[in-house]
Amino acid sequence: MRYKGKTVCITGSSRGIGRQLAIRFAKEGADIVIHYVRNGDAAREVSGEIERLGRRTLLVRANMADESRILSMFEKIKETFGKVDVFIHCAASGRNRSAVELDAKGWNWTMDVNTRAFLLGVQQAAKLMPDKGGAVLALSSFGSDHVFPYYTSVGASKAALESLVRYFAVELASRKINVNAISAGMVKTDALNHFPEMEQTMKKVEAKIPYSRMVVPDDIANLALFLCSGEAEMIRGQVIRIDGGITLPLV
Amino acid sequence: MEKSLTKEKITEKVKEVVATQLQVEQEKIKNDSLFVDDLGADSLDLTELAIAFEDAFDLEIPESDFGQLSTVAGVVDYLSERMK
Repeated sequence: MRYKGKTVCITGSSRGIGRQLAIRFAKEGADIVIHYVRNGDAAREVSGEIERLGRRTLLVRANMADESRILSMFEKIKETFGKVDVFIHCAASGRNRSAVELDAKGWNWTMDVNTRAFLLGVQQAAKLMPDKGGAVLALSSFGSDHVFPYYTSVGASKAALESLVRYFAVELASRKINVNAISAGMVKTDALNHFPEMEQTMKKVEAKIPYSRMVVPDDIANLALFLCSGEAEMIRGQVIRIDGGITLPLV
Repeated sequence: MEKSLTKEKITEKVKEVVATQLQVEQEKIKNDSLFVDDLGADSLDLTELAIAFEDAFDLEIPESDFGQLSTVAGVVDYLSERMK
């Protein structure tokens, strides 16, 4: 058990990748802060599953676009666990529009949830990390440096997120806090249902991916468990792709 | 959860939330105003509205419930029922 006695906070952990990260970290011994905003029932299910593993959980509902809610989430973590060893920002949202149609409101919402929440979250998490260090992980996607239909706001927010990862990695290295990002390809979760014309897009992705299957949440968890551990201590401020090679072929 | 609110108070609070979230004058919001068709809400507005109602009334509104609510009056009835 690589994370026995550790406290791991995962934003957006009621569903999809975040949910699987929560379960996998718990299986490695960690107590988990489960964060959600609109899916309380799903979050409580995750919590139940983790508690059946003998781990502790803290459930926090917080709008990641609201600074005061982020701050109060960390207050609750401090009260309950007194520390955070690993902070993972998995919560994400977006205005799924083309660049020429993207509005200021959708832009702000996406940047606030995907990027600003990471900025504010890491600032708070770092204060609660022990002297012996900790880890931070950001969930990015191939839309940050490639073009994907209707992904404008999310893609730009993820590019800024990756930049923040590098700044934090340098600034927090002296405190033994390691900061990295995973850039996932198209991962099979319910989030895909929010995009227009997803069925056709998915078929194109499946046809282009060099390896023979889509990325699944467990692929992300495998890498996350490594990147947030001591074994990855010399990997700092990096964005690691996990996409089955989809971003490699030109034609 | 605030259990002592009268229906009038709930209506007032709901209209306040709607006015702030959808940036419309509170006087223009009627009990039967439709969030989408009358007040111009889109899917992001609806998500933000749901979160704002949850924060204002300190309860959770599942997606499956919120999807059924399209007017101020609908939300007020729902919240009154939930806070009984």
